[in-house]
Amino acid sequence: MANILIPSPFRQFTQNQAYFESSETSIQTALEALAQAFPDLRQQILDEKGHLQKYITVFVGEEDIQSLQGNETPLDVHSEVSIMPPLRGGAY
Amino acid sequence: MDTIQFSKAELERYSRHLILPDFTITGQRKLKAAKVLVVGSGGLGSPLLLYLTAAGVGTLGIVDFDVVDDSNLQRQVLFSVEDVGQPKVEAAKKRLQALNPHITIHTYPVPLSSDNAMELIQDYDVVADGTDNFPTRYLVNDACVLLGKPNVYASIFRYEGQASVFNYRNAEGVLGPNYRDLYPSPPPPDMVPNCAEGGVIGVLPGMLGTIQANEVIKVITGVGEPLSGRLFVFDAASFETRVLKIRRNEKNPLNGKNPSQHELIDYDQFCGLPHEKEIIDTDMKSITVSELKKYQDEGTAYQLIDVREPYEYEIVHINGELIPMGEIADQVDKIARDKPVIMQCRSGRRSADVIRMLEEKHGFDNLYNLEGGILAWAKEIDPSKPQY
Repeated sequence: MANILIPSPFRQFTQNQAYFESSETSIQTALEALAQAFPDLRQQILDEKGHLQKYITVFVGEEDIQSLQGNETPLDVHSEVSIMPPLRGGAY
Repeated sequence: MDTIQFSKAELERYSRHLILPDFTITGQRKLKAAKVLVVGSGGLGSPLLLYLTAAGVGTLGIVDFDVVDDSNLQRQVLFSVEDVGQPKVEAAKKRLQALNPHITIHTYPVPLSSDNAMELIQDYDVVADGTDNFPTRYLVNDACVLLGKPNVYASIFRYEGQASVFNYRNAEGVLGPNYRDLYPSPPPPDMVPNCAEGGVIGVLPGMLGTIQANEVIKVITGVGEPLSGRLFVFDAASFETRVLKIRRNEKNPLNGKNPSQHELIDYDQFCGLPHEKEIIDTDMKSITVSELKKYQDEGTAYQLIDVREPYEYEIVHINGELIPMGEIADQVDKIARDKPVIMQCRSGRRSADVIRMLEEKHGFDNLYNLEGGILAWAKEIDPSKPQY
């Protein structure tokens, strides 16, 4: 099963769960499954049409999915998916 | 570079660098000749400035318009109790010059803006971004790209940190990616909270700020392989680290295939933040903390609802009815319609969002936002209440 890492800012929507395992075979369907499992997370990662929010960058392994096949990037049992929203903090 | 000389005191001070393979006096000369601008002297800026000062960077610039606050001391290790209330740049300069009198420090107690960024940054060789908001992050990035300066970046939230080196041109002349290649679009203003709202573990900026200092030193001296084209991600809770690849994006408006942006823009507007005038012009009803106190003293009928989280309520409260923001939609029946209802949070921002939602979706017309939230109450009405 592909392993999706939930970043710190989004764990408030996943009951503090840091990982989500999915048997889906593409980024699009895996993120849909994640949003279904945690409905409060949906609007953070997917827009109204179900597309990845523009401000989120997603990696499979080390690679940004935009340099792979975008939302259709395939996943396998060894895939590690990193959802990376921008982090704001620094000076505070 | 060979004209850069060191005094006996400096040679002794930097001796561990001078005997370090690959670094030697050549690296130390490059540090002494370098000018580094640090934007933000808070969580990240504190360790960053301390290490750059100790390392002997010849000229440091510090941009920060803020003053030292009690709540800074949990992680901003540049400052002490005696600095509370002082401008951060002044307190920082005093501490840093005490650490290393052989360097020059310039201070800029102003907000970095589209009006001053190009002028400020152009005098420096490297910029280190330790800011806390998206408009300034995009501003720093864009100014660095337009001026051809490397931007050493880090950001933090709760237990997680990121770092990278943007806009770095390597020895072969190849330019690396910048912040807009990683994040082409900013998030909506209400999506990603900052540390003042979401909290941060105090040592995390220490770790990330130190990594930034290391990358600044590598960029200046050419020692090692700077973190260009890579994003370092660290989760202090699980102690997981990842290094992800960042590639240049041909759609980058600054230096992609068809650049469309050749100057700085309005970054508040770009990030969807309302201008001050729009905030003032809002139709939302509000009440000041003095007016709320008067309500209490005169026995006026009202309902006070605190929309913060239970762990915030534990720190301080003013006897509001606790209904956390995320639960409001399910507890609408608890909100009175026959008397004024005052919504309160920490600073007045979340309560304003709650009022907007209740007015739009549930037709309330009796809601008032407590201006400045519980922070204003602690400042103006009851100083015995802690500010956080």
